[in-house]
Amino acid sequence: MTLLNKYLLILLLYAGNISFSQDYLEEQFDLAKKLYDEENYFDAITEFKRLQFFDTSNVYLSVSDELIAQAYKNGGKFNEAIQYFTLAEINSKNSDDIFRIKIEIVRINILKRTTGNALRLLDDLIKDERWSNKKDEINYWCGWTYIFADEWDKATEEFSKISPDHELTLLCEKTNNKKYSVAFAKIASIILPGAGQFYTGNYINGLLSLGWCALWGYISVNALIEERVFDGLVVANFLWFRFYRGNLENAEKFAVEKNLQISNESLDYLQHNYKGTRP
Amino acid sequence: MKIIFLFILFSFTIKPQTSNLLHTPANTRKFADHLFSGKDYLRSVFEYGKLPEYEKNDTIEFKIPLAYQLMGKYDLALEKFLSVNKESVYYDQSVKEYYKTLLQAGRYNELQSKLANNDVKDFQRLLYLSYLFTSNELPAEQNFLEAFPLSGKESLLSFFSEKKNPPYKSSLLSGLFSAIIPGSGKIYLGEIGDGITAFIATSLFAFLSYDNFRANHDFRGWLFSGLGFFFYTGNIYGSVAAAQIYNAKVDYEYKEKLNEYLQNKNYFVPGNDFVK
Amino acid sequence: MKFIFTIIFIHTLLLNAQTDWEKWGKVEIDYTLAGSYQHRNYSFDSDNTGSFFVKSFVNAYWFFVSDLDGDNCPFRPSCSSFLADAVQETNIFQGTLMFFDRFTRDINIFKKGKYPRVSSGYYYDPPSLYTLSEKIHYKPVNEIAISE
Repeated sequence: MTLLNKYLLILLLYAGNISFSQDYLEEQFDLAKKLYDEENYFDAITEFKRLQFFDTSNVYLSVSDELIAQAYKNGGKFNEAIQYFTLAEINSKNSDDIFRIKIEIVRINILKRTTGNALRLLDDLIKDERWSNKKDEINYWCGWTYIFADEWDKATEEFSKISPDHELTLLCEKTNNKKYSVAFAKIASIILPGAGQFYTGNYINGLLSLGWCALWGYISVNALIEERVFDGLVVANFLWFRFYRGNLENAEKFAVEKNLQISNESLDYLQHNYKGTRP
Repeated sequence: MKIIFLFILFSFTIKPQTSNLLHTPANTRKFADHLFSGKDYLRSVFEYGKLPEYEKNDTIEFKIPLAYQLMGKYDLALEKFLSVNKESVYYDQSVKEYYKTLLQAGRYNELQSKLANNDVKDFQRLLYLSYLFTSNELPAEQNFLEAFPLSGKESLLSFFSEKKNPPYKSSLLSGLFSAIIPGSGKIYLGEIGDGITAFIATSLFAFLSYDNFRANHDFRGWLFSGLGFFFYTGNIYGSVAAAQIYNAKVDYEYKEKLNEYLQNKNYFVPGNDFVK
Repeated sequence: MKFIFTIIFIHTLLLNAQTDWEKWGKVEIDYTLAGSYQHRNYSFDSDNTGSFFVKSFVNAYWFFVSDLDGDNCPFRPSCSSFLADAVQETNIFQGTLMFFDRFTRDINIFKKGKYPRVSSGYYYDPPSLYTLSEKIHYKPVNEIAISE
């Protein structure tokens, strides 16, 4: 064998070896991905971790981190998901990947209802010139953040920046319009005890509130008129004021509960029937 | 040249079963060790479990129950520690870990019955420690302390003393105090606010009752007497119940402190190379 | 900087490996919001006569008075619920004594730092602690005893 042939042989064997190495990592990746696609997330994470352990060149590091993060997200383990997405972001190679991963982190913050974090991250994305062409997507997730924060008016604003006829713009506007005004309920009850409860449809509670406030008010005023000042003050403080304050609390409580019901109807629709991209 | 070319062609065509390369016993073991050192114990146990019998050695046989113990899965840990081979280099350590796990799992009576006549120092320590958790009679103080190293004697002496003479309060005394002076039973238990409130409430209704009877308002007199009676008897009852809760609190805090101390000392069982 | 972040996150990951100590699967993430207001249980769960009588009284109190005068009790269960539960668990006489003791403790304005709490911030004080039974499930002060 000539020297040239020897070197050629060594080179070819080395190339063959590398291609075998890439093959078994690729097969391991396929195995892990298959488990992930079958929603067997715990075992998928095991196989991705195995891949990472043997992938000494870190070829699959970013993509496997991302899939581990997705698996944790689908298992409801949001903190671990954020950690792995952050690792994936650190190890990612291009700005499209970075953007996609940042949005994934935003989506997890939306599901966790850590609104402050989600808005801060979205704000950073809006201000970053690299993604000036992705404003629609950023606004979309801003809208979702506000939906999960139960701020449907702000959600309407964000979705309307994408399109005034967007399905979610209309849904958020409808939800917001259906809601009761908590402030109005309280003010109505300040002026007339029980009025706030009437506004929210709790008639019996409203009538009873009115009755109690009228009764104790009468007794208290009557006592004061008859110069039984101590009696009047005791009744006013321990009974009249107690029921009046309770009336205000109920006005707020019923409005908040009704609004919660309205929000949950829309959230339930979004969870089970909405066909677009969800957090 | 022809031979070289054919050889290379042959190498490329025989594609090895590449997916099994990462799943060979040797690689599975390396990965399992990596998971174990990263505290991913459940996955490491699953990986060790995949190894064929001929690949399992003493270390793996010991690490599996250790992983279960570290995860708090005491029943599985106990089962696996018991099945460690007597010829294993980790057999002695497994036995110690087995008894330590019994202590961690709160199976004190079982531990005591198994170690009743054992003179080995390490086991004696675990046996004596179990007495600190149960209501069984404590060993003599001297014998108890002798089993432990010097560094632990002072702390253990205080735990031993507290176990022997716990700072309990008497329910009977508490009830009796409250019967004589309403609220004093609660004050005896350290609940000053509750005691004063009970005293004020009972006194107030007693006064209102007396005042109304004096003014010939019989109905109100009886109403306030009734309420006063219920506040009075309620306070006596509450004092007895509060003493029970006080004693339960003493027990709870004692166990918490003791558990924390023993965890820091690894239950006075020699450590192993696998957990730092 | 990347290197420092990687080290910090790997370290945090090691600390969080505990969540994978139980095998888990896919979960359906619930979008709906949970309410925070207390809802009364008007049902009669016991066939004890004393309990029936007391629960009727408590239900009437809730409907005509308590649901109208606001949320005044800092405890969970509230004092009226405590009475109903106490009578159900023991008997009418013992339950009544437990209630008057609870009412006295409620009047005490210096009760901060004496009871564990529920997640909504109220003091956790169940009747099971006061039944004079042998086993008391003591919960330390200021710990979140149950989520509510």
